[in-house]
Amino acid sequence: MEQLEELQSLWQKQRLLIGEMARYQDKQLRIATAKTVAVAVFLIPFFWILANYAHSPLVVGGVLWIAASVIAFMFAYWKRQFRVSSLDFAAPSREFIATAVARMKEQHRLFGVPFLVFVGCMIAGLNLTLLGLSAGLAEHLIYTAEVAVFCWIGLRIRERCFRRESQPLIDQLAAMEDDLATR
Amino acid sequence: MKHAEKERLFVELFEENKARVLRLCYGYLNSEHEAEDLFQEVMKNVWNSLDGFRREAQITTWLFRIAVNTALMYRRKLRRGQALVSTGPVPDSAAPPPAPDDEERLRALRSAIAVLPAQDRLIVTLLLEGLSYREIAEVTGITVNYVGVKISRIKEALEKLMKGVSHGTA
Repeated sequence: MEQLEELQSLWQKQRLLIGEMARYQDKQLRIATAKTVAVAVFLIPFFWILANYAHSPLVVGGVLWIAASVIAFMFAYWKRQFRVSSLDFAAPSREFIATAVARMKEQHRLFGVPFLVFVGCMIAGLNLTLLGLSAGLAEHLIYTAEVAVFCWIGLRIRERCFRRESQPLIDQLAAMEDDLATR
Repeated sequence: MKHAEKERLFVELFEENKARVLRLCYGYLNSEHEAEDLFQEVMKNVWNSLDGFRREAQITTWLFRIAVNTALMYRRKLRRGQALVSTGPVPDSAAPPPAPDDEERLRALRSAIAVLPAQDRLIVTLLLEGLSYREIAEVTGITVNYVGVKISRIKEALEKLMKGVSHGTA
């Protein structure tokens, strides 16, 4: 092989063009804002019901149950999201990789059992509300199915995005982690 | 850290190291266009990490850690429809630009680096930037001995690959 010093000098002679530091908005921030707006819009009808049926304990209980479930789930989601985005980039790579893999996996695990519990809570709250509104069996079934289908679609979309974007990165980092772990 | 001090340190770091960091990005991705994107992410992370910077740490090691870790987390993306304006060559050194013959060798070197595994691409780029084994160990978090083992394997692989490129087989 050519002398390392020669290659180093050749490498350091490279002249690359550098672009202006473009001011682009952080994509993640835009996504998080969109999600916050979506959650707020989703909760508006429930607050309307709450205002108009405040006399019914079942309605109030159901709506509060739904709101609490959404807030708890979103809090858990954002907490994990924050942990992923606040990685210590100045840490040695070996340590960095281990933390990054653990946090990304932790974020994904939220969409396993915890997500099913969340959907269950939503459905329970919804049916409690409908019970308070004296809805018929058909309405109970329709709204329950609607929530379940929306959540299922959301989960599928998320899974697809995860497989396409995050999984390859996790696999690559995990392979490096294995390689470095025993040293 | 006060904002003005942070800004001054950032500008100083940027001016002194932009060429080295950009070459690392390019060595890792082998695409000038994407290297710029990664470079911007590195600089964003440098800015975000400045508050935690301890003066006792060597600044080059600290900076390369951020660059390497950002590269590891970098996801190749299709462009976001945003054009970056090229503003001219980086005044990275007083050295003259490579001669045509050197250009050929440089191309062979880049092509050879491009087919190495991600981790090896970063290690060899750090080596080419003139970091010592100890400094590479500090950046990556592995032992100096293992850095030595890795580098000797990488050199072997590069030698084969560069021969392949110069014979037109790679």
